[in-house]
Amino acid sequence: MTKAISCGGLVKPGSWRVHSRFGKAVNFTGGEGMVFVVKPEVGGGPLSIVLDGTDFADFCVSLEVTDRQIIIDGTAFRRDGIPLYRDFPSLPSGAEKNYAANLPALKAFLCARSPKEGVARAFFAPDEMPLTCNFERAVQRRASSAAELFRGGYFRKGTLLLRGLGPGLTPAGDDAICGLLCGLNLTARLCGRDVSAVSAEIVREAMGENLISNALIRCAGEGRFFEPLRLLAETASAQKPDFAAAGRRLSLCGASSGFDSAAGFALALELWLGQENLALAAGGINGFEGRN
Amino acid sequence: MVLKGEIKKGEYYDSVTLMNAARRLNSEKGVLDSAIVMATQENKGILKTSGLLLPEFDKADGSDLVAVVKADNADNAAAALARAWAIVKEKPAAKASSQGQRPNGLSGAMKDMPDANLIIISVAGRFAGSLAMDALSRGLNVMLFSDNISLETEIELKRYASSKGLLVMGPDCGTAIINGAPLAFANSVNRGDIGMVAAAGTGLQEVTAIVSNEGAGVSQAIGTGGRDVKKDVGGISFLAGLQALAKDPQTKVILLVSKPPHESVLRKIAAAARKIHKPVVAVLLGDEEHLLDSAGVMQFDTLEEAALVAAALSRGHDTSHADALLARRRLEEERLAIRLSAGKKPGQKHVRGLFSGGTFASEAQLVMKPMLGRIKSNVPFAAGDKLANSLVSEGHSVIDLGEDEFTVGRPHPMIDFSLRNKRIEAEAADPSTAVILLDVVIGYGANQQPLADITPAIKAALKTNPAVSVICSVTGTDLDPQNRQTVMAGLKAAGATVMPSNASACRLAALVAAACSKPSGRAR
Repeated sequence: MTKAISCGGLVKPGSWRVHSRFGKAVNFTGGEGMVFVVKPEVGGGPLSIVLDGTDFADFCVSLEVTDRQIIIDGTAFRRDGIPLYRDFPSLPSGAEKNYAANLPALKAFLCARSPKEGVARAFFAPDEMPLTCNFERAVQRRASSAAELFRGGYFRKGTLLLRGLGPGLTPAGDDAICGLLCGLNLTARLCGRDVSAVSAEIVREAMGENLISNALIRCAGEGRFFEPLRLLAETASAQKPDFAAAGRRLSLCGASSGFDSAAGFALALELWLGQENLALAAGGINGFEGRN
Repeated sequence: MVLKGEIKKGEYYDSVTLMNAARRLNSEKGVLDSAIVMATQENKGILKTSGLLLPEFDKADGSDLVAVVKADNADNAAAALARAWAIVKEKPAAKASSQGQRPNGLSGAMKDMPDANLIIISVAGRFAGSLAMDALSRGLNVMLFSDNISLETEIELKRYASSKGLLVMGPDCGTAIINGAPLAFANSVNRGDIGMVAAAGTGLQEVTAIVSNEGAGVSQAIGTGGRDVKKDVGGISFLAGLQALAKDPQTKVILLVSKPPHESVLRKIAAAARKIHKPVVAVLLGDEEHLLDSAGVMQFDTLEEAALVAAALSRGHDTSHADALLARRRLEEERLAIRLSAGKKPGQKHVRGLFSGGTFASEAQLVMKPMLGRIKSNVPFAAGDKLANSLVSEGHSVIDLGEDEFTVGRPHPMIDFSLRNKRIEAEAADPSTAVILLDVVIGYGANQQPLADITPAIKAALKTNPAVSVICSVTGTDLDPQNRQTVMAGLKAAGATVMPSNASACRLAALVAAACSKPSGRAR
């Protein structure tokens, strides 16, 4: 029997049609928006409906959403009977310190475990990428350069290099931008800073022709996490993080999407901690400084 | 060169599927480069800079899939393109995991393969040590392909392994053949009764390939990493490998390959060899004193000689069988030298060795120095022979293009020939160059289309300087995916002189250069 596990708060009413279909997710579109119907292992999200007990190979061809109901292939689920997905990480006290302490281990973990097609190594260990295809090399070089631009405060240029980067339907570069945006918003929340200008600039520059990416970027621009990344953000904020468990969830999110967004998130933490150090040295904290 | 592409409207795949497909496509016959990507503006931009953008791709947008193939001719391009669509549609192979997922981490992998007793670790160096220790603690032998592991970590790992009766191959171990399975940069060879331990990766490839090409075979080929035989590590893995082969009933002949170990390590190897009641053959490149002779080890100066002797012993011959073969080769080298030295211009007298294998660069210096005198190198045996600038040859020069100075941020030259190709053309343009000396290594891990990648550079070099000689050897076997005979024939067709071993190629190069330096300009 099919059961709806969770529904995202940004799933809007409307008639949705299938945009694309993968083994664990069916993506629906309607105008500029997207709704993702996914299996439980993929996890929830602000735009996701998580369904258990269904075979996606020949299921999920129609989706109707109203204020009260979600109707998938004619089966109606009452919205008030479906738990609302939680977009924001729940962080323990001392999360700031723990992020600082755990960041090296997080980066190391991502470099070691993320698929080689992903951007984690390009971000954090660019000299250790054994690549053979020219296209692949070019992608990794761009990703690596983008990370350097972000580190230098060039958010617009970094975003432009990363946008749409990668061969697949959901480019690795877009996933990384989502992670970066989530990370920037989270760290800003922790410190009571305002990153809205930087965040808005990244969102503006990152928007392209890919509907899925655009939808994800819009959510990330508001600091809304999809579940695998939210779990990683919560894990990394713990005193004794279990990255292996968080990594298992990331690995189930797309081919490399989970790890790519995590790489962006880790980069945001790195930028934040770097700014923190710089700002402390300069005697004050004024939020992220963006350059053009 | 032909560029051919196709658009599949509305088709889509994930990044990993597409990149894996492109990698597989690159190994198709005649394919020089390829890409299979969603036709986003960004990807079109990358295709353009990679020289892979076709005008018809203007019609494709981000919701379309495009495949493009650069191949040596139209037929191969068309065949590869057709193959591209088949590859992306292939269902992924069944995963080992009972949950249908790729195992994440060692625990997951162990769960999937509880009987495994060997792990190959190829992660960034800074993470490899702890992973290797974890694996050892679970009773796994370790092949550490990773480099950039500290000496302290290496020692700790090897001591711990030794205490548990396990073996650590590496760090920086690029080659091994275990139970017939080529691991990392290795060749498909006959199985047989010659067991090998090597602290030199390409050296191990050369001897395993020669043995196999001679009709003998390999029981086990154990790599140790080059640092193992230094004083600090003390040859822990080398000695463990030697002991394992001594006990292995499948191994009848033992072959040791290394640069000269530290004296203290050499003493330990000699002591261990004395207790082994099997023929032990060794090549310790650069050890002119043959320090293992006193331990009853048959020690030789070149990889070729040691491998041929091991093969002869394995096949029931005595060493004279190998001697006779080598004598025939030397006669052939002298004959070829007369032909190749003819027609050289005045002042054209230098050998320029451009190697992808570090062991080959060392062997080249050792073989050629007695005939040519001083040889400059970026990896010299004597500090005084160090090239001032590795990018500029001086006199007789031997360059190891696999050194870090050339490989940071780019694939190893056994995979990516582009850097060496440029250097081939540059050396040909130098009027003092008489011989360009090359190694071509095939097999797993190496460039899957060596001919397509290197022959244009050889042809260009010979066009620039028709009097230059390009001499090379091909390390590998006919069982390798690239097929040694095919590669040799292609190199010959491009104008290269192909010799049966690196040592033979080096001898011929030195003979030609020596002849060109004589007033008559001819070999005698």
